[in-house]
Amino acid sequence: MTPVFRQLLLGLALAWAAFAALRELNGALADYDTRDRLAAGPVSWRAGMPQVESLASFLAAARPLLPAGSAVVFASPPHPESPFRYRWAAYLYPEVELIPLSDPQAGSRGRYLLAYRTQIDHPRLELLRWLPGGRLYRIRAIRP
Amino acid sequence: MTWLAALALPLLLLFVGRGFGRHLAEPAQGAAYRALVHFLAGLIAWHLVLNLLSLAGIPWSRTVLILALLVLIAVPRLAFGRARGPAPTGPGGERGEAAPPGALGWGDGIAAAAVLAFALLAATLWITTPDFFYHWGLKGEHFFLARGIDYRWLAESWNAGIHPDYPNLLPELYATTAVLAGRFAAPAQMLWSALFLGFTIVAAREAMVRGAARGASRFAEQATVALVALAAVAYGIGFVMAGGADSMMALALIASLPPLLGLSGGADGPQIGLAAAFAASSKLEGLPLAAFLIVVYLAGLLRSKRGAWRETAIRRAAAWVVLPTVAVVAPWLLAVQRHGLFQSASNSGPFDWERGRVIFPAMLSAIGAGELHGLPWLVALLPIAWLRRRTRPFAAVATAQLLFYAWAYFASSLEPHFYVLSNFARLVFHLLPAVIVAVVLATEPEPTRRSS
Repeated sequence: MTPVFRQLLLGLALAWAAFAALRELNGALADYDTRDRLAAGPVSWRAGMPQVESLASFLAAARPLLPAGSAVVFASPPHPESPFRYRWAAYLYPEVELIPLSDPQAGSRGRYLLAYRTQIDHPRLELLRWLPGGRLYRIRAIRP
Repeated sequence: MTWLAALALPLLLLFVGRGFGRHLAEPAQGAAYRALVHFLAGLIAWHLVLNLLSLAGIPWSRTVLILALLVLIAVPRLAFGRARGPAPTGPGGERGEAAPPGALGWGDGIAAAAVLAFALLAATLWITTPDFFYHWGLKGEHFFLARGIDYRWLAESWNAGIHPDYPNLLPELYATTAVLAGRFAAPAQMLWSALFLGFTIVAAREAMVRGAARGASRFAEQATVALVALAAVAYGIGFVMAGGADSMMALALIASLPPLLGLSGGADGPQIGLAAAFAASSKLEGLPLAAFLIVVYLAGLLRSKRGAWRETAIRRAAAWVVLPTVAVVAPWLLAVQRHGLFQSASNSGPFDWERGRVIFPAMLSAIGAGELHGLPWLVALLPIAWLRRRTRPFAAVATAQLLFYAWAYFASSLEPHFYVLSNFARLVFHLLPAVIVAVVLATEPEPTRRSS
């Protein structure tokens, strides 16, 4: 391969990468500027989106009401992407042991239940507080 | 305070690594690359100390961490002297002479601007990988609150999906940054990703400046540095990769490139050893990468001096390359076994060729994603690295790693289509920066051998 041909190929690759980087940078900045108007399912959520902010507000309202380290069940509307909504909630509220409602241990381990944009009716649940975007329940112990 | 801690901890870890001085890097190597080697040494030492503290049940309080840092800074200086000792002799028995640093050029400027743009954007969290929120950052937050690696929490049934069996270096860095700062702040944690990217470019530059022939095209050197930076930044922004551990894998591989090219003189064993240990501490995929690096290096060592295994220098070089990985893998393996963290469903299954009907189209679809602009295809140039003798060891490592990724898809019990789509492009990124440099070097004229 001649030096000139090598340099030409390298220059083309560089131009290609520069185009890709600038295009992605431009796209990211444009999306970031409109992040408060973007709508997406939980699998495509990014920090700053209104859906994330709404969930964060709900969890922030629950934070002063729950002892740190307590086992809290998290429920949200059934959806194929619900597990990702739960993951975000676990990240946004790490001070408690957040357990998804679908987990087999939720009923036995959970002491509280956070119902985000959903309503759960169960004889073991006692409503403690309405929160922005949902409710907080205490889970009564299983009677022997 | 959080930004200060995020800046101070890497600097302190670099200072820890500097204590090993010439045992890890030769004066003939570039100052920035020597800093990278020292940084890796500091990271490995930090990882080991944090694991020891967790094993001993000592909480990671700010006082404990500061004391641990002071001990780590002092011990290598006391044990190895003030970094003036002789470097261990490598397989070639070569010692590098002090070399002038490569002059900065337009490619370095483009690379610096690209890293800065990435760092600023990463700090907004807009290009943070979902995996940061699903597990890397979540673990970091939890370890911060628990003041240690909380294996009991990792073993909970509801955490089966957050890769509880992964090595924990990245969450440890997040957690200890937060402990030193007093709170967990995600934007400041993104500095780690920018740092890993910056050091990736440092390693690329080292390989190009020292690896190209004297008198070789300055354009090739600068264009390659800029190409690596722009490709990595395009990938990192388009595929939202800030905050994850994939940049650590890419750094581990490219950091091993100068020693694999034989540019590290007597320090090639320790440098391969550190890159391997760093890979093994970063992700599960880093374990095979570490193994391939070690095997390829030892094979080269044995071939270069056939029948010379009894030589002390050879055995010492082999120890330098193997021991760091053994040191990081042993406590991880112990903890994973003890707490039953290994995720057998995704990690192992019967090998099934039939899955290829789904896997290969999914691979093409993954790397054909519009936001990647075809950049993953640069990895398809890897066979060119096989053509030159000096890039062949790297080609062997990269090819083995790529084959391992393919094998994992064929031998997993997970549904292959979404499994491949969800991670193949990220796995290709592990190889991309190093493959670019190796391919460019393989097409350059062979360097004339320097006299020592």
